[in-house]
Amino acid sequence: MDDAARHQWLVRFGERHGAGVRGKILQRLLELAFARIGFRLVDERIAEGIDFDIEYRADPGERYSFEARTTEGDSVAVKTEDLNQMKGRAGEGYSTGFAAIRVSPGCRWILVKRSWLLPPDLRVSVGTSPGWEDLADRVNDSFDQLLETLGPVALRNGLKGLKMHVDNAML
Amino acid sequence: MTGRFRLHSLQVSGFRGAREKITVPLDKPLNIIAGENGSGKSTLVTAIEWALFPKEATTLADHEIDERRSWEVKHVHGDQQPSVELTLSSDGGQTCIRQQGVKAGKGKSAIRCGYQDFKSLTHVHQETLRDFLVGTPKPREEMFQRLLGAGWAQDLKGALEQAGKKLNCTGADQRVNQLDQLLNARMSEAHRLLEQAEADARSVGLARPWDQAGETQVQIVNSSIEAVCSELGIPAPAVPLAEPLRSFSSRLTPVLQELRGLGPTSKHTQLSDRKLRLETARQAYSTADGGVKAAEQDLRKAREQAGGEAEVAGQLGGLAQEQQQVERDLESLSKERALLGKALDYLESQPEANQCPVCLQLIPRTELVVALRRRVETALSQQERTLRTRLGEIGEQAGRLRKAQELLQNLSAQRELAVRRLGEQRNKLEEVLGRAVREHEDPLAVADAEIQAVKAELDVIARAVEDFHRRLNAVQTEAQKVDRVGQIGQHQERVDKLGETRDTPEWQAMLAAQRALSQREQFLKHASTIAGELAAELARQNLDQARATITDLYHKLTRRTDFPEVRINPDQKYEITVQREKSTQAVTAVLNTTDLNAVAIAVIAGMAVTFPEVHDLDFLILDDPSQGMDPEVAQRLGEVISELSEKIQVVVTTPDPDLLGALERSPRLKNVIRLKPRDPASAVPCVRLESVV
Repeated sequence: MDDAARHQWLVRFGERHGAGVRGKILQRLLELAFARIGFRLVDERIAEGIDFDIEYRADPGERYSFEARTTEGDSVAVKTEDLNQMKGRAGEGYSTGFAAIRVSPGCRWILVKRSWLLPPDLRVSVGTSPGWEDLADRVNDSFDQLLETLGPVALRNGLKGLKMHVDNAML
Repeated sequence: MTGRFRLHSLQVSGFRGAREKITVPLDKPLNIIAGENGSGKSTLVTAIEWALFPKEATTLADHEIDERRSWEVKHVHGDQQPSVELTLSSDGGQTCIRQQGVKAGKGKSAIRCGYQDFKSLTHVHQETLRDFLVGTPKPREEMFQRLLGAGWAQDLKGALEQAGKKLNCTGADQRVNQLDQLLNARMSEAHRLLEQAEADARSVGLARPWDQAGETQVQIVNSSIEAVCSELGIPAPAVPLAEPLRSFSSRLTPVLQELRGLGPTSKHTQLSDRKLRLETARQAYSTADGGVKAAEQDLRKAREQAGGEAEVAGQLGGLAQEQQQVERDLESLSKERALLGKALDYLESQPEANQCPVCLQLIPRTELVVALRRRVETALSQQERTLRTRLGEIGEQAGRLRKAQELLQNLSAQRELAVRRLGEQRNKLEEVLGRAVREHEDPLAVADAEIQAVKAELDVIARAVEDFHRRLNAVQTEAQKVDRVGQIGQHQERVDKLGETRDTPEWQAMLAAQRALSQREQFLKHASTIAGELAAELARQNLDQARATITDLYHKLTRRTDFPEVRINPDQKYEITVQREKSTQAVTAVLNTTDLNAVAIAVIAGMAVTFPEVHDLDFLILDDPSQGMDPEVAQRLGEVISELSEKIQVVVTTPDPDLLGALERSPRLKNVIRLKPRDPASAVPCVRLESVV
């Protein structure tokens, strides 16, 4: 999938469901993208905020907890509460950070470690944190494939259209 | 320059309210500048500030003191150039700092202390005091941290923040976004054009895959041309190569153009040429025929007027004879005149006659001869005139006849010429007709008949030409379809090329540079945060050392025992509270103005004496510190300041007699500088020394 096509999907999600729901749709697609590359979705807290926990099926010790952020600007907000929550998740053995995507023609998910984050915001152009580049590349490729397969469903049915797939990813 | 500095002296002229040169000694541990309000105390204090920090002191954003909003360094009474000379003393000797003119001085500062430290730690202004109590939390926190020796960490934090801002990541992001948007817009446009080209191709019956459709169209064109050539019996010309598909039709145009010149078109052209030649020859013959007829007409008219050439010749002959006769008569007459003359001469020579035979009178002979000569001459002259008149008439008539003869000859010649031309045109007409026109035939009618026949043949050929061209146009249309496929390929290339833009090394390098810039900004943010945390932690640690001193100073100033402790909470942005037995309350909630000022002075003074080693300046300037205090508190403040001066050099300005009295009673070494009261008649202050003790 080329950049323009990916951007078009993101734009269409927003036009169809609004910016808020688009963020949640993108989070779910991101969760499923992780699932496609071998992760199990441990928890999803989509109703309260936008964050999820995953663990690598082949090595359950490899665990991540991400706050998903979508923006149309140059940066995403970073709140002290977010950092505190992440700190709590880190105490449970998770590598924590932000998964952020900017709705722009060259959009790609970036994975930013908690140690990189500082209130009040994070510039998206900072890119993926060192050490997570390979993970980010794999999940972005997976995300593109998901857009092609589940994009129409998400566009048509919104979050509900992805629920079944998310449930499967938790198994 | 090393070592810590104390004030030694200040010399001011042309600066704000100070017109004349004023020299103020400041070399004692305690230096008191006393004077009524408007006498110029603040002028002297700000002169110290300006000497040390000429640029920052006059910039509101830096000192944030409202009353200096309109501060100018120039003298308020005239255009005198401001001049300040501040002498500092240190272990290494004396340092003199000079500032002149309204422009801020340039060059490296002689001291290490920064303006923020100076403002927070050294120069205590009334507004500064108020900020401690009721100011916004952030500046208060910064001020406290500076007072607590963490100014260097704050400066580091500020420098790191500035470095982060100078990276201008926002600008870089914007530029990359603009490029991204531009690329996207071009991509969209390229896609739109591609879709349009595909729609156009579909509208003429083409279908995917486009390359195959293009090849098929080229084959159709080839077959059509071969079929046409086969019908014409000519070899098929070479059709242009299919690649590139775009502009195929324009490359085929010369081939079709060549074909258009062949076939029925050629015959049509030949017939058209023949018709044109026939019409031209017919026209020329008709014109020549008309010329002959006109010449004959003219000749006929001339003949009618002048007669035939023979008649004119006959008349000319008769006239010639008559002319000869008249000339002979004239000759005879001349002879006769000569004879008569001789006779009369003879007669005149004879003897005179005696008598007239008629009248019988005697007549003289001479008279007779004369009379006779007159009569003869008269008769001969009359006859001669008659003859000569006639001779003239004959000449004129002969002239007219000769002209008529000449005209007739010309007309005959013209007619001959016209006849000759008519003959030539006839020959040409016969040549165009391709046969001799027989005698009984009318050449024009023959030509008309031939032209009509050619016209009829032309009509038939024209329809064939039309049909032929229609077929070639159809070939052209098929060729244009190839163009459409070519355009699709062209747009597809554009789309592909634009799509690859983000994969180009240049684009990737741009993104990498943007990312590196953002990461550097993030690093600087982290470093700045760490510096801030360091400042906070350092201040927190140092605060414990100052607590007892602050509370002690507060108790000395207020002599209140109901609040055992003045508390400063670093976790609450250094909010100042007082501890009661059971509760802690903000000072602003429980203390009156006098006590609030006392708290502020206690805090500043307490920390100043606890941490004097935080910058290069080893003095404290208190600008009207007893403002709003009760007289008793002001007196106690004097005692406290006196004690402070044991640890740090103090400059205190005051209009307050209670504070002044207490300070004057201090056993410390001191300078007391008294300023003259302001002239009530003057709208602006004028600093004048009253005494220096």
